[in-house]
Amino acid sequence: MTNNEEKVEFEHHVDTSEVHSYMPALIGLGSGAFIAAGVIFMLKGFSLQLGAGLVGLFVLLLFIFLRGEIPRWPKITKESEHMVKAGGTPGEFHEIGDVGFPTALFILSEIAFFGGAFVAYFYLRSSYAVWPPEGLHHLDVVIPSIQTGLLIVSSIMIEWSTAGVKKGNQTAVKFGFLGAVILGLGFAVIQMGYEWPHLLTTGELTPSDGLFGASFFLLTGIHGVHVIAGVIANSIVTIKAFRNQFDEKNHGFLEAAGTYWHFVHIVWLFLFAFLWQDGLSYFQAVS
Amino acid sequence: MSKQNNPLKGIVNTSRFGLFVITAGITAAGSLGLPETSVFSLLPNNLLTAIDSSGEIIASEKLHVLLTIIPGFMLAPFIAFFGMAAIFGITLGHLVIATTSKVGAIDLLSPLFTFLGLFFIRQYKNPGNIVGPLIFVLLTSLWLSYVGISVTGFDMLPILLLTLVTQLGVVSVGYVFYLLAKQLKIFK
Repeated sequence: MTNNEEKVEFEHHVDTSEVHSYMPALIGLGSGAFIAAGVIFMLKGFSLQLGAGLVGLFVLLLFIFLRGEIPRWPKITKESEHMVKAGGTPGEFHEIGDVGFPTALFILSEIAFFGGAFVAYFYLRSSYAVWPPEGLHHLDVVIPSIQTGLLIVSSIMIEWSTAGVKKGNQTAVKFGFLGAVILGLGFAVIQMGYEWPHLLTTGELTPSDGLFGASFFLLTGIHGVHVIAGVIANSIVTIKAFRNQFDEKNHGFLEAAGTYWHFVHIVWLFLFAFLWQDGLSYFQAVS
Repeated sequence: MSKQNNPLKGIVNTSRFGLFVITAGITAAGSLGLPETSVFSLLPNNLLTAIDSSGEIIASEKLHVLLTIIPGFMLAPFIAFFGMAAIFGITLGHLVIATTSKVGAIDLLSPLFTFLGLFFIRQYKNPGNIVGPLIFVLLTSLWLSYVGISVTGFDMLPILLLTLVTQLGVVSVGYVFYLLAKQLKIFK
């Protein structure tokens, strides 16, 4: 199927004005603001009536939205199926060479998530004059250095794969992602199968060792979950690659998974600097 | 999806994002993961004595930190191949390193000079790619000297000489690899 045929097939089945609408994001943000303001007003005791009113407004908006949306879900599902058959990836069609807007939006939400976690970490840390608090020794950097090496090589393999798919190099597509899966698994096994048990069993650091222990396991834990999610996504890409489902024109999912993996890698660099190397400790001494 | 509907079209793609992350990772890991090596441990004693006859500079712990080699800077000449994505990557890697600096918060500004220096490498990438790396070395050395002077109060000349030796050494090694890669046409 040529590009034009795909486009015609796609537009025949999908109402593009609906797909490109910013309204869902606007409604989501608006109702999120209503409920957040409402809950804050109630909990902080500013105005119980106003708070309850805003929460009520959110519930009303949600009801109206779902009343209109639910009957359309079977149609949307059907359209997505047609889209896949036409060679596209839902939410990633037509612009498969670039980081699609949905992928970028997802990554931005992840940046907000980790950004919040890091801000919370530094806020808690600022109440201590010395970090890690006295009595806790510095963590060994050998293991995270190995893990960083694994992530760098896995990102290079994904890069090889991404460049390969655009040139029709199926070997690169298959083995690039397969390598990334193996290295990602290696990362998770080192963290959850060796480092954590080692720290917990020797008592070097446990979640009950004050804020440092809790922050360490929380931050490395949420990152570890992201690594596992990335390994799952990369595994699906690998399976699809071995079934020859990617080519020069259709590789949106491969790009999205690769972008996500790169993001997981970059978050790790900050974790390494902040948790193992006491990053930004010069501000600690000031506070 | 037209460009109007995808504001990221032509700006971000997976390959560029990948290059950005890989260069940031190599730069950061090169310093955070490998043992710290200061230029003091590499230069012969008679040369060090010639630069610093009093021995005050060599004894300064803060200067040891400041003159620690950043292996990631070996990537600098490769900007000619990789472009803006690598400039942002190396800069971010340097920022990660700077957060762990024992010199102080002033080191957080160092990545700005790295960015500027790398940008010159990109600007002068065509004529043999030697002007850019030299500007990079000069710019980062001048900044590091300024930081060194402001945190220790020592004279500028010996510190500038040491920073120049450090930066020139690292970038020269990178430049050799760059020429090799160019010769072998690894990055077409």
